[in-house]
Amino acid sequence: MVSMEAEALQVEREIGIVRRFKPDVTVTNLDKDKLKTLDPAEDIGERLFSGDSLLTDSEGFALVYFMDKSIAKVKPNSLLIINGDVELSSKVSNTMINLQRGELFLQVQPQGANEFEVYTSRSLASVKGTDFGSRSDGFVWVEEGQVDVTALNSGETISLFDEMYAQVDEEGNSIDSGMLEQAELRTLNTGFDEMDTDLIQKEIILKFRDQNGQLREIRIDVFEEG
Amino acid sequence: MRVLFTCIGVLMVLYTGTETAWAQYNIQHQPPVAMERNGTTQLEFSVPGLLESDIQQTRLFYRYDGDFSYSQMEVYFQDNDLVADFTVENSSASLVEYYLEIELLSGEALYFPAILSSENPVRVEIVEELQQRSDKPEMEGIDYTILSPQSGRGVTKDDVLIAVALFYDINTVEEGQFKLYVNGIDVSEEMDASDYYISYKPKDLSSGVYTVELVYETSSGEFSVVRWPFSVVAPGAASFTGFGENNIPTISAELTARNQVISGDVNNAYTGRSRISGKYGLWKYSLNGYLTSQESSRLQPQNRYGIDLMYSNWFEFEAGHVYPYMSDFTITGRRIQGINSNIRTPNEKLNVQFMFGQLDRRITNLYDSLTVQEVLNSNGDPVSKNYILTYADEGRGTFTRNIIGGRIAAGDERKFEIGFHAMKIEDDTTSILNARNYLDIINSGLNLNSGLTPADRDSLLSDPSRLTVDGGAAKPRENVVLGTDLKMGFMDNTLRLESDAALSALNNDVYGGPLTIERADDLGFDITSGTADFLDRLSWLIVVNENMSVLPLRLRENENGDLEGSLFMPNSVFATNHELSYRNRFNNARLQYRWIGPNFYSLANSTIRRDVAGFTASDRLNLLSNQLYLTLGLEHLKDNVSGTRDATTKTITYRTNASWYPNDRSLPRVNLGFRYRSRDNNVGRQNYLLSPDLINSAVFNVRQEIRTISGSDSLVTVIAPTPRQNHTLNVTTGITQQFEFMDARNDASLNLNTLNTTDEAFAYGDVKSTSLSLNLNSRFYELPLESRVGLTYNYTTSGSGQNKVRITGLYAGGNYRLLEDKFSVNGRLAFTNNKVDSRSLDINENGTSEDPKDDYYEFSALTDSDRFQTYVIQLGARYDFDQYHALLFDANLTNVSGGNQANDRIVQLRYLFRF
Repeated sequence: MVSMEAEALQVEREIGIVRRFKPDVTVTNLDKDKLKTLDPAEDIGERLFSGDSLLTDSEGFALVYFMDKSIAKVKPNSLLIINGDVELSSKVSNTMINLQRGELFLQVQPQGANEFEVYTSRSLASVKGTDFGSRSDGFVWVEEGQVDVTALNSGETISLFDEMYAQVDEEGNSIDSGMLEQAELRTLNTGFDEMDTDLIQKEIILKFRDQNGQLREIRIDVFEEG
Repeated sequence: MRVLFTCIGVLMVLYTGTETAWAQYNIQHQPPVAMERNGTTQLEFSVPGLLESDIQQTRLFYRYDGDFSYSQMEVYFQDNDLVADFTVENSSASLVEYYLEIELLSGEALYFPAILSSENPVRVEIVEELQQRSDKPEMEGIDYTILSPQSGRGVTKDDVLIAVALFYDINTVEEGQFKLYVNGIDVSEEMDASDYYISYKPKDLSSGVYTVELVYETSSGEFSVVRWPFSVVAPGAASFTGFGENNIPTISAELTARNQVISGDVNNAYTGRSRISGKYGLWKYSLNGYLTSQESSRLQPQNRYGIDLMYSNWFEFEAGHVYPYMSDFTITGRRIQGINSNIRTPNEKLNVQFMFGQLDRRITNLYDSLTVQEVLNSNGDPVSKNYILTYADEGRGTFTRNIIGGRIAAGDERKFEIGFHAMKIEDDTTSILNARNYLDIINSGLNLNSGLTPADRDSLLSDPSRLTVDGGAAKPRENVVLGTDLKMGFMDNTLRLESDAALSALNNDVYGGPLTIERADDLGFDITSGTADFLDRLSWLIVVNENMSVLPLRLRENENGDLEGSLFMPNSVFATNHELSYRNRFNNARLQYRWIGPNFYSLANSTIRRDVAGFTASDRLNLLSNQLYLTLGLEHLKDNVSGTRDATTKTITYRTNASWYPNDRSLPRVNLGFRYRSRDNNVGRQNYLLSPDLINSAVFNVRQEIRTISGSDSLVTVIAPTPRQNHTLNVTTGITQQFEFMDARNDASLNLNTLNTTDEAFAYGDVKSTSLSLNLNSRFYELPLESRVGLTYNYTTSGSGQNKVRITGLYAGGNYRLLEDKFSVNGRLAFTNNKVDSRSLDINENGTSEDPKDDYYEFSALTDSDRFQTYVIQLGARYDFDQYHALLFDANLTNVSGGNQANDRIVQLRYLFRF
């Protein structure tokens, strides 16, 4: 599979996969005449390349894994264009999500030189190692970590930390920011668990004495939501 | 001088006599081929003929990577065996060494291994956890990210997607192809792959645990890129969200009634054991208690109790009988009666430990009588009297030995942590009546005057110190240890530096208090008032007087010709240990340097090896994906670190070990180790008075040299230091194999160990030992039966044939379950055949009874032979009334033939309650 011929080719590599989804979710790439409505029976794990758009309809959800293990949870009625590149021989990657419509929540892995940005028509959120959400109307909120939000027109930049929000105005000139109440945070996060991640294995150890009075153990694996 | 020589000879004979004592019991133990890190291994020791009622205390001493002292844990008597649940808690060690010590009520101690157990402990390699290891070599140069499923996570049946992103330089990786295995089945045909991405969506995986392995195949073979487990869970299991908070405590209780006849003496014993444990939120607690009718005020506590209270990782409080660890130079698991507490700040940057209690409890002195002995002159006429106070049988007592200590540490031990600790141990002189002179007896009211005449009493009252205590009165001791430790981790904690340094002070008799000007004068030297004041002020910490293990006074002759003592800090009370280790997937390298002075003492840790300095270097290579471990080690030690001995002994040890621990259980697990040790103090054996063939048998090392005496050269005879030159080869092998046979799963294990010491300087110093043990456990599939058979053989000659011990043991046992496993019966038959031949060493005076320097050792003409067999029959049954209550019956019959000993038997009934 890996051959020297590949060296000569301009290899385009995947920058993410659609790990889970609920119909309808469509992947398009106008440059490549790509238009594919994902089929739950066949297309779990659909690969995403730079330039692909992901569209969820009014019932659709999508869970996207990026190659650095960052995760994007996409709500219904969203449209995002994914751009970026991943190096072939190292885990260095740059990911840019253009959120044109809708809402998404990101869990970005903390990684050294990698860059991860989400921008809308009015805002740019630049992150490293953060759980945060972004809406196409320029609203950004942080559950944990740090996000630098820039108003695209004026260039004003502020840093958001745990449980903070920022709203970039329609012109992309100014940023309104503040703290979120727990109830507000819960409301903002509602719906994103629809496509939740794997179940975490936990071990239960049952200790008992057998017929000989010997101490024995039984280990039972259980699975909990992450 | 002649008396001294005779005493040495007698001691030698007595020593050889004690060698035979351990042969009365044969401890059988099958060491594991290897132990898994963080895993618990049950170490079982079987001692045919030994009854629980014979045992005062049993401890397992263990250490990692040849450390300078042992930690200890208690071992419990369980179903006629001694059992230790040993967990390898050390995160980096590659070797664990252990030995067993059984203290009998008779005062005798048994050890396994029997010969110099602390120097020749059982050695077992530590291997990494076996799960999720590939049997293929690891692929270099290909990095990966597991996208799905995450390692150890669970996914539902319809949601399984195996996805891996790959990162590599195509120019540096050998041409080949990726292959994917799920539970060992090649699914490469069905996977969806590009050069840098592999995915596979399995169809219809049933619930269970799966292992995925991505392999890169080249012309030179298959290499493992990544291997990880995941689980497919049913929707029901997947929705499991935990049991919730359970605040119901776990309770267990055990009542035992035992009737035993030992050596014709009937003895009934009753014991009760209980434990309650539970948690409430972040709090955890446990209480335990053990009561026995064999509790005696003449012994250290047999009854045990304790409470343990924890709040998350921040706070722990233990009280009762506790087993604190503070540092290797202070206390390492020794039992105390008191409290031990730990407080950590929530960020774990500050850690404070405090302990307080009794290391030993008091045992009162029981005196027998005050007797008068007349001292006769050469004509047989009485010239004086000796007044002797004797103890009753086993009446010698001990003081309450108090301990207090603490440690404070700041930092994170994975990055940088510094700690300071201190410990003080002191005997409470007021805890027992300890008669040292006649006034003590008068003041105590003890009625011991009946044998004294009024004249005797008057004589003693006028000089109370004329009373002699037979064997000496108990001496109260005091011990202080102060130390510091430093721990540093670099390169993601793969490179670590750990340093410990401590100093100690030990006073072997604090009666009389600190040294005074007057007392120093009595001892023949002067101290200044400033020195005396300083020692007096220091007495709150340690009483410094002439009974120190080393006196911190340097004696010099002053201008008047008098000896004058000035304070100084002797280096022999220091101890230090530094260890640099590097650990990655393939290597576990360690360099250790230690320096421990001959006068460094901790009364709470008797296993610290003193008077030693040198380094230990070892490297353990993990090969074939942790299936093959290759260890190389070198140790270079010397004693006489303070230059107080006549000669310095250098000990050089080379060690190599190979352990094969394959994942495939159809293959045997094998361990093979060699250890070669040489000891040499560079003192030649010489005795010009003996012929060459007898030189190595000489009692004394004697040489002649020319010295200038009264201005003229004279040839003088000098007693030279005792030479020490020997080398030891120790070979250990172990094989375990699991196999299916006779519709049963069988686990067979074989251990063969040999130890061969050749003494080049003493004709009677050779030791040869061979031990073999074979064990077969079978669990039958179609029968509710588990069986166990074994054979042990040990042949040891010590003292170049002074003692020959040959022990052959056989045992067979089984456990059979009935009534839907509610009822089970078990039995065991053990037999040992013991042959012990002993020849003492006599001193041949070589025809010159007036000159001991030409004496030499020779075997006595008489050989003491002892032949006896031990038969042990054990029968037991257990009935479980329900899940909470059970009744157990055990019977044990021991017959020792050839010794005219009555049969020992024991019948025991146990009731168990567990909730």
